[in-house]
Amino acid sequence: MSIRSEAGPIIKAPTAARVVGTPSDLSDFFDDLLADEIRPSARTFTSKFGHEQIGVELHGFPVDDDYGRALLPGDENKSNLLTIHVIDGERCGVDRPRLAWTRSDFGPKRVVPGWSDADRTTYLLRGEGGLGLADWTKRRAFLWLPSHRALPWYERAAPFRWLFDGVAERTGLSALHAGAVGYRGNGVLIVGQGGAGKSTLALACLGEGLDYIGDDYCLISNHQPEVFSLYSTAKWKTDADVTPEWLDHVEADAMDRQERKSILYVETVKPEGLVQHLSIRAIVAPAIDRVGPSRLDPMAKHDALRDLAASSLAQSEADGRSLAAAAAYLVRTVPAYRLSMTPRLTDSVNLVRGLLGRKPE
Amino acid sequence: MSNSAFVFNDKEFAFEMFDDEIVILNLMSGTYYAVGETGLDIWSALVGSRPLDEISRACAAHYGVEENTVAGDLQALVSRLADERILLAADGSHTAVSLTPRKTPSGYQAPTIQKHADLEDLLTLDPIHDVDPERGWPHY
Repeated sequence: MSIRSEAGPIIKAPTAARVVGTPSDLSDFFDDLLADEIRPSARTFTSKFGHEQIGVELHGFPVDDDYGRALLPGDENKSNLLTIHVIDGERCGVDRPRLAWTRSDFGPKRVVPGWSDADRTTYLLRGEGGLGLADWTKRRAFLWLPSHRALPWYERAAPFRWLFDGVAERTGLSALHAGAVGYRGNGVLIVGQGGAGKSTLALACLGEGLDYIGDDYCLISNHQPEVFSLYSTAKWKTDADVTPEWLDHVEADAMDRQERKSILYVETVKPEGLVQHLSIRAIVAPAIDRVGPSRLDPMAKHDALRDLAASSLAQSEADGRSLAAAAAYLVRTVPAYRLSMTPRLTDSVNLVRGLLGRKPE
Repeated sequence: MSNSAFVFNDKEFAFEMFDDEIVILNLMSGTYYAVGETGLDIWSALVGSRPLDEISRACAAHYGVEENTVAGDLQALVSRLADERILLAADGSHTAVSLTPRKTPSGYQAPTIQKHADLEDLLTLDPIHDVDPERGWPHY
């Protein structure tokens, strides 16, 4: 069977599923693909990752597929910390390999512990039927997908989130479930569980002219109070009680129907607001308060640690130890506040401005 | 159980000590625990594998309370921590027990522990069923 690509040439006749017995064999499987079968049909780009960058090659993807658009563009002249190869199995004619794993190999998350060691991490992405492998010694990662069409919107809005925990862990960073906004290089980290109001606050700040790192995920340095942007997307609940007003006049780029969230590529509406790095001056944990007025109350450090670390650990695909230590370092280094946030979002934005040394507007 | 001793399970958990609370984090699930009151005083000795009876004796002497009272409270705390796998049984260390009294002491208060498992839903992924030996792939 041959597959005719939308662009014209036949991509590849499918190969028979190869049996893979060990994690090392899996690494060899992907290396063989790279050397022999799936080049040169790739769309390539680079993306910032902290002070470094990663490379991405999409093999077999249609030219108009925007997977990876949520990442921050890197510098083509810089070397890559890691290169990620994503393989559209259908269009590249590569069947999913048959792995000799057993039920006891799996854990509760995407990492497959029984097929991972210090040099390689194997991932099973259940939602998209995908198989991932990071070979840390070769500085390469692979993601096999049955088709580019299998990518769910949560993956398109936050590409390689499952992989970035491991990359962060190896580069003195930690990936957090948090947002951040700022002004002139100074930033406020916005923390809390899902539904606490992180996106609402971050997007309200963006709408009123503050700089935007992200609303859901970001990177922090393990040894300095710094935050880096990971994605240029924003997500907000379509049925939220309170939404920043400017979003009412914006057409979302996509919809995550499962979570009932609208997704926006921020660079299409507020490119001037996107920043890649801020120094953290404070931690803010928002909470919706209908009674009012909006106010900031100092938080105990142990409460700040809980709000900062718990949901990040729950979602992390890495060991967690360095993330917990980084979170503890941060709460001991910068002040933390509980922000009681009323539907008058401008009041909350002004409180954040105050933490950044700006006057209310 | 009086001369039982324990170590902290640092493979699955991390802890941070603050002035008025110890936060324990499950590194996999994000579940967190808060240990308070006299739990702060005895924590270092507890995770340092000091025998429980020696910890009880030192704490009772420090606060001027009945040793049996402290022993019972300490046993309750340890049982909770062991049930959660935060503490693991270990050989006891017999160097002298030194407490780390809180900075704002308010007399003896039984050690407390609270568990917050709000985030367990984040781990509710599709379960892995049997791996299909023909396909080498989870069957779910």
